[in-house]
Amino acid sequence: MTELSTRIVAAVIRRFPSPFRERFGTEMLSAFLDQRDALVAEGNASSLVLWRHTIRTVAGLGRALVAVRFDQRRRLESIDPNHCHHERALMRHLASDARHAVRALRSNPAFTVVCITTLALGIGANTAVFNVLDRVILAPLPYDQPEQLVRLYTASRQTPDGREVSRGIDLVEARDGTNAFSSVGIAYLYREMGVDLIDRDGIPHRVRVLPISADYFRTLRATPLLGRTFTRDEERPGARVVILSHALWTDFAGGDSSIVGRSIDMSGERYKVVGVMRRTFTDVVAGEVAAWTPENLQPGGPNNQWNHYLSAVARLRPGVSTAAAQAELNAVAARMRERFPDGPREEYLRTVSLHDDVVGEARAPVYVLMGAAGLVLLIACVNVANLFLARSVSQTRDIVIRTALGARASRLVGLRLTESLVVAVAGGVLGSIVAYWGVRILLAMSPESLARAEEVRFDWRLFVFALLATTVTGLVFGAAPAVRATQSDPSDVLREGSRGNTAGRAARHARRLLVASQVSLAVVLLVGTGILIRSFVARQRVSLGFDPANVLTFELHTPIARYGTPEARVRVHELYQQRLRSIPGVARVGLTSWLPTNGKYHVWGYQYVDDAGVRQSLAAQVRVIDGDYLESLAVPVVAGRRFGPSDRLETSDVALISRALAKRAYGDHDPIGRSFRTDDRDFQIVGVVGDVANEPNGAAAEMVYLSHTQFADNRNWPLTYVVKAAGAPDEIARVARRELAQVDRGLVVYRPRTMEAVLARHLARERFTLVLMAVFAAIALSLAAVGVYGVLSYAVSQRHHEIGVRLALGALPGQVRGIILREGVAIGAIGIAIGVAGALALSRLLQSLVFGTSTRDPLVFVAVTLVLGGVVLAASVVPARRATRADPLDTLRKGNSP
Amino acid sequence: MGRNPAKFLPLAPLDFQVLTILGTRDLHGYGIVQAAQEAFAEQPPLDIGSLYRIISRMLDDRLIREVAAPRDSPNDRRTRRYYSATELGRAVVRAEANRLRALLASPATLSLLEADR
Repeated sequence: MTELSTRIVAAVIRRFPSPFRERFGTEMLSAFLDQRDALVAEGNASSLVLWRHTIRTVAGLGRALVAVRFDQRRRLESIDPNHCHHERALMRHLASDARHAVRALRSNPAFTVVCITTLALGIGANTAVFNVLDRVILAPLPYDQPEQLVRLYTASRQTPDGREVSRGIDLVEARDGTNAFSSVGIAYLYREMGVDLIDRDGIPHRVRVLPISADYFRTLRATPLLGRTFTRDEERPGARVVILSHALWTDFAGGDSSIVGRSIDMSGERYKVVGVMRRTFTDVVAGEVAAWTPENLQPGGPNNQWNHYLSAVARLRPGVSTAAAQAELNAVAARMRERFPDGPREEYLRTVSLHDDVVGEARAPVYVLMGAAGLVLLIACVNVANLFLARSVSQTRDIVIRTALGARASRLVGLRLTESLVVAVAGGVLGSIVAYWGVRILLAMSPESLARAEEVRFDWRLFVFALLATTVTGLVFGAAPAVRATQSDPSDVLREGSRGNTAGRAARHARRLLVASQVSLAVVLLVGTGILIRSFVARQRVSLGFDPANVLTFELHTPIARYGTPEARVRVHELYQQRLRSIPGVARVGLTSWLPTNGKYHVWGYQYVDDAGVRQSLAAQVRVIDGDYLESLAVPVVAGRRFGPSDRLETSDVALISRALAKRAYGDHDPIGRSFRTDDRDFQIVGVVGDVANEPNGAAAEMVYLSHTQFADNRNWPLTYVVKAAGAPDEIARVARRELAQVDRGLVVYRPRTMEAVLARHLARERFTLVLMAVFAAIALSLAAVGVYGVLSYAVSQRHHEIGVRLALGALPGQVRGIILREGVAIGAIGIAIGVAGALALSRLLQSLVFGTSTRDPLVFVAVTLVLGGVVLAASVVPARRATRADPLDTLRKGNSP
Repeated sequence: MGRNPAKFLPLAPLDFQVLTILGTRDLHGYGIVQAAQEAFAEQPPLDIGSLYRIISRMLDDRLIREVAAPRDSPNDRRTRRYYSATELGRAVVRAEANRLRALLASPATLSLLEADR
């Protein structure tokens, strides 16, 4: 310790200016050591005392250090008044340069505004997108040692990449029968579970509940704020304990810490609160959850060798590789096959890094957007470079004259540098405002479509990155021409007159090249946007097999405490349907256990006898429906009948099947009247209905429909109402709530949304990507137009004299226009050609985002070529017309002077 | 010498402490700190950084000078230089003490102290 403190003090002493240090350095250290020895001698040698002494000494030395430096400077100045002259002169120059730069920029507002706006757009767009990228994809998960976390999924030999839910027995075996994981947390994510809570005003609210195993929080290394998490003993049916989220605790319990140990009413049942989680806990797997209950993991019941319904997060032991974990999971699979010979034979658990799993689908669009934002930044840089280049050419004479008159070259270059710096800083400030709002807009647009988007915050590091990129470009292109000008021979430049000097010619070529590259970058962005638009349209045109127009949907959950019998559940839904039908403007009312386009749900075995009399089995998805469900969504009945009032709990079981299932099971034979078996019950097919999109991309599934009035005894089905209105259904939700209160004040109209909103949710990510791409493409297009316009305008002003002479010699205005237009078209053609080639090479990157269209869609390429051709032409017309307005007399009178 | 002690007035409190101590005996760095603690217990403590900054300044101003180490000084590898106040230094600290005394003896100060009591 003494050694360390001595070294610290010595290090501080070394920081003193050398004359002082050489004079007193060793002496100061000696004094420090003497003082410390004295403390030890007094018997005050506790390390606390010694450290306090060290810290005080260091603090004193620090103060003295500053003072000594100050003294030294003052002394030097008093001895030699010229000391610090350079520094002061530099400061004076900088200040005067800045003033000069601001004055120069203000005298040319169009140039300044275009430059700053361009930079602001480039910096803003990039900062916003990089921000989202950084937080969504690059940032680690909000858990301790997140790299150890993996998801466990069920896959099979046929689908090794499968990410299916798992059997409880497998997950419990992975937890208890392996060494690879330090803990395994199991959750019931398959379906969103909810309970009704009565708030302090007596109004019921539905909140989301996640059933979990005892180790769930431990796996994520999350500890409760109050109380405890679950124990293994509680992983059984009827364990009425609950952990509240911080939000629910503050909303419903008023943040009262005495809630732990008390019981609360959840859907009519008493649950004992055992814990409250911290506000900082976020669940990246399950999303927002209001409360957690224990999941039943006892063998038997739903936890059997057939039922796949659970999900798991596991933490690898330190040093255990995923390969080693997989080997253990394969052994688990082998053991389970032995233990349950009648279960599936081909399945096993596999691990997927939790980070990859969470980020997964969000990755592709964010990378594409990042690329697009990068292109916008590139175009912005090119634009600024271009503008500065143009200006520097017009300033060449100015610089040369100043140099000839004795101005120092470094001062002149410094002046240009300051100008570009002022522009870059202004662009950066404006860009940061754009970025700030950009991030907010990104968030507002994508609450659900980007994983972890709720964590996105504004980040200054990324802003600094974008600012640096533009500043460097601005400096290079702002200063390089100035440097060259100071090196040219004044007599050459002055003799050549207003135009045609070599530096100018080279710069003009450079500018044309820059504009052509701008056009090509714009082509790339436009092609990307075009392909995404085509894909989006294809998505929307997908045939769904039902009509989503004017349909309101909402969930209705019947708490088992009050609706314990199938009769009671059938009764309440019938009552409520009647009430809904009596609302003016309501055309049809039906119910389903799962809405179309919401994906796979309740995949059950479908056992039937085929035409050859052989027992067959295949997997079909089961939907429980009631009322006018089919009519509400205009799903046609292809053969047979619908469910009717005669299909009751006590009558014989009947079913409808989808056309796809009928074809798969019975080929071209009529399935009406045939029987099949599912969930240990026999059903008779009474009708065949049209196929309905089960996935958002329009894919249908083989489907069995059962009647709720008949199948309510299977379980307490959570049902979704489907209400077809005569007009816009927005108002109906309110009335539906009022009517429900008449039936049962304790029930909740949960998550009302139109069917169109349900569909839009699936397209949210596509729409988000598309809108941003369109914005970037629009920026690119306008910047390219500005570039072309700028280059041609400048050419016209430079060739003023030449054009005047041509006109005086009898050239027709059309010919003069042609000269300028040709230049524009040449630039555009080169740019478009390069851009199309680039887009062909790059559009493959969009592959994973595109649906139902080719990434080399010729229509898109042709359209983009036409659009950009049109824009280039339009940007060329104005300068070309201005050229013909040159008055020959005026020109000739002025002679060669600029 | 011939320099006017009044030019250095008023002295900063720490300067006053150091110069007073070096006016009575020759001391090395830590010795000054120690003596200051004993002599001016109520005053803000003198730290090594400030001390050597003051020493440096006073050497330059010829208020103090380096003197030979006394015979009884411990003979180890540590650097200990001894300092003593010069005639000018003594004159300056005396002038400062007089200035302070005059200040304290002024009726205005006395009435202020009176009122405090």
